[in-house]
Amino acid sequence: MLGERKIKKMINVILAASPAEQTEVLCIAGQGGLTRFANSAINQNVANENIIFQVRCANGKRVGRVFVNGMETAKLREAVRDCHEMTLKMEEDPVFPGFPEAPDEPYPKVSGFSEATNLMTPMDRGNAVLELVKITEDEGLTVFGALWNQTLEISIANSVGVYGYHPLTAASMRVVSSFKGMTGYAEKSSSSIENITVEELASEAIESCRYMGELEEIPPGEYDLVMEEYGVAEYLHFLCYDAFSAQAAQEGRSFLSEHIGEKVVGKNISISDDPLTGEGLPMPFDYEGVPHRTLTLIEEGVAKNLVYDTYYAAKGNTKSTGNACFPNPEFGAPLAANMTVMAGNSSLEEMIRKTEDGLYVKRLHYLREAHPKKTIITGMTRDGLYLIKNGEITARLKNMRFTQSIAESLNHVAAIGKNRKLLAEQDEFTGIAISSLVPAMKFRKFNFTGKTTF
Amino acid sequence: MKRRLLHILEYARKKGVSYGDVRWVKRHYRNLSALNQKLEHVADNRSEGFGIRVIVRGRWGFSSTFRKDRRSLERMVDEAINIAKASSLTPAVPVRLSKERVYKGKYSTNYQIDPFSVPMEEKISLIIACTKEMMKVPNIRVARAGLDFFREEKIFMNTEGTITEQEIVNSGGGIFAIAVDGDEVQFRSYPASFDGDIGAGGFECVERLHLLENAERVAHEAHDLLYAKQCPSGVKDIILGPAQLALQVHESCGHPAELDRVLGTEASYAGTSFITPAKRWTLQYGSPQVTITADAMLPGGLGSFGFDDEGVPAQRVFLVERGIFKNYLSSRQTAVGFDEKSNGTMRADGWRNAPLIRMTNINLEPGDWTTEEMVKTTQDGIYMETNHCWSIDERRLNFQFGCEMAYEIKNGKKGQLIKNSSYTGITPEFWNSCDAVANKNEWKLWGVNHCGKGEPGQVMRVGHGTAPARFRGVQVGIGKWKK
Repeated sequence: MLGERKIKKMINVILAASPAEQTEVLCIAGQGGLTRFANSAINQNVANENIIFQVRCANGKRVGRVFVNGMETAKLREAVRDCHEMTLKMEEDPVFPGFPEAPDEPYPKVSGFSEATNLMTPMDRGNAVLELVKITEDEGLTVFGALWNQTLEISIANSVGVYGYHPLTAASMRVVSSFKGMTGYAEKSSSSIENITVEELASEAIESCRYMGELEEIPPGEYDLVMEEYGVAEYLHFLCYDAFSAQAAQEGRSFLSEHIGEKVVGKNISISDDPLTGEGLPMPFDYEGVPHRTLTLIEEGVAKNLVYDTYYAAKGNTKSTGNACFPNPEFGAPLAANMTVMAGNSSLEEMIRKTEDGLYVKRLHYLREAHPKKTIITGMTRDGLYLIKNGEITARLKNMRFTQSIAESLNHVAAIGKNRKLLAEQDEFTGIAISSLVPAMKFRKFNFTGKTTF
Repeated sequence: MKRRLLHILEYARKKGVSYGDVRWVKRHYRNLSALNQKLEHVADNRSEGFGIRVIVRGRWGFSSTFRKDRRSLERMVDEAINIAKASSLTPAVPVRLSKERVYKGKYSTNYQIDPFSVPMEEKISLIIACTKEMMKVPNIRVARAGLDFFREEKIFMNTEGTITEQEIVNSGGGIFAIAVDGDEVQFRSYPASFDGDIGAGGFECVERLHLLENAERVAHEAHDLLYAKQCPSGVKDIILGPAQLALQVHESCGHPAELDRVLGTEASYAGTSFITPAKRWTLQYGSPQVTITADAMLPGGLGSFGFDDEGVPAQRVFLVERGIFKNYLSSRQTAVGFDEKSNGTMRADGWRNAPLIRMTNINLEPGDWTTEEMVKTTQDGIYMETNHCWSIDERRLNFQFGCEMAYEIKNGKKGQLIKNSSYTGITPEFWNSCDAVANKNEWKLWGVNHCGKGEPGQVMRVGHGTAPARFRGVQVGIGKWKK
């Protein structure tokens, strides 16, 4: 880790060298490692460190962005000067509200840093994989997957008074298990590696691919579907980009456009963006330095809020909700990066037991949006699709394709799990983890439109 | 810089690695977009650093750093060695590499106009003008235009003595309109969806696109789609436009031919492949009309280069020849298992990542038809173009693609406009239903700049040459469509 003092010094170099009227510097310093394994052996093992600065200069209502990596003072000064020069060649953007001012209150205090995760070595990751391989080999399984750990120092400052620094860690392990042609899955993410235990993952990976029967197939059609947390996280994740984002709503792409305050899904559905919860990967501020808060998006089926950064808030004549997106050279729309779905009172076993005729799926694969405003998504099942008859699993099925409106399915949720899982994905550019905290769900009449051969 | 790289390799040798390669990569990426008659954003991204791969105790280790001082670079080597040692904790067959000649080579993209030298004002003025044209059309809620420019300088060296230096330059862009009326939303892009079309070359790549000249047409098409007929569900003959075919080739020919997927090393994330080794030379992948090549030497291709990130020269190979599956995309490690040499497809996203097998330019070779002849000889079909939605299973068999725009074909004539068009199939069945591919006059090389793979996620720039093609008896539509 570089530490706050060093990072602040570099940020101040940039701010001091800026000829622009306003300047903002966002620094993401990160280091981490990832160990991949396939066929029960480590096959790719990497470490990296990087420091990225996103510099934004504003002259009047002309705003430019430059990303630069490295710590050389000359390079940082050059970046801010180039950014300033860039703005002089641009047209004004009448919407630009200026960079945010320092908040009235101090940033909320959150934890989210684990020394164990920070100090994790390649040997630690290798030993964890070895342990997994030993446990699963004893059961005759082959395993594939990855274990990663990441330490990030995120710092934001601007010339109108914002300053924030937050160190955080994240770790995640995923396992695809294979046994006689059947696959299973287990995954866990946390800010602390100490919360990820190999035995627990191995046990789930073993159990989930142990079905001994032949693969069967059923025709496409509408089926009641019990979906594990892994599937729910992937499925509902699309709402973060094209439903909850103020940009999508303003562009007419969101199913919530012009429906805030109205009932949009079933009464048993409540969804928030909660970047502060200790159950997730907490952060005290967004990537413009606006304080984070828990924001209700859907409450008992009623659309309550969209997520805004300062730009789209100005455009929508409202205030930022603290949802400025992590830095990316290609996009910058506000994002609900910490989606939490309220738990219900069912267990997975109960959901299955109370299903007369339906399906149960472990996780989903390659989801894509067919129609954003109708929230129609297509994708495949993966690593376990089962037939339920009279409350019992009676067959493992060949994978199937679904094409289903998320909004419509959220109007027909028959049961919600009482436990939630945290699932995290790393952004490719910054290494920042985007997380979802979700329960399992049982959907009525889920629309399957195709099937595959395995 | 070369001296630093030589020092890194020398240090690695002294530390006892049996093989090592090191890359220095410097990237400059500029992205501009305009939205609804004003500039939306300009971003300039510069990144520079080193990545090293070593083999110790028969296992790989990789480390990277943005730091340039000697001590940090040596620390990077030490870390890569420690990682390789950690990799050896789980028993496995030691890594072997296919034999490769020692190369000392240079390669640079052939370009006419340095895209970074073109004044910013000119670029901004072009994209704003495009959005102005699109906004003239009723119901256009979003008119977006963007340009992308990319330069990568790279030096590669390995302990066998290969030294390569490369400069890659890419340029391109696209326009995009969203039309909205009530709950109906329709999209239209040009020349392709998702960032348009990008090629290896300078600003001349942008000039060739004629973005402004196509802006009003694109907006009108988005508008007209709002009131078009819903895509029917059923079995039809389909003709796919070249931009849609580029993605079809990408997902159902390029990815499944990646040998690392075939061998299971991507199983936990992106998945595996249905083309298991026993199917090589025998699998009837497609009809005799179907020949698929991987060609890293195509001028202007986004997947073109001089040497891959193992120092292996760019090559042209047949993946599918007249319908029969022939070759995988391979690396030195995967090729050796087949007693072959690598066909040069190991590519890393920047300095921070270890190379993986990636597509180069994966092409459907031209046939001898024209699109006009295909339409004339189709009784009950749909012409679909420009990808909107894509999804495929983890072995690359069942796929479903949605297209931005489609037309009915009835009795040899183009008919009504169709919205929300989609088709689905199983990869070899689909390619075996191909009975016509348009000729070289309609063949075009497309650039896909966001091919994702691996963990940590890596984004690669790849190319696809395609001409329109016809497929008989394909399932179209998705049945129920939410009102």
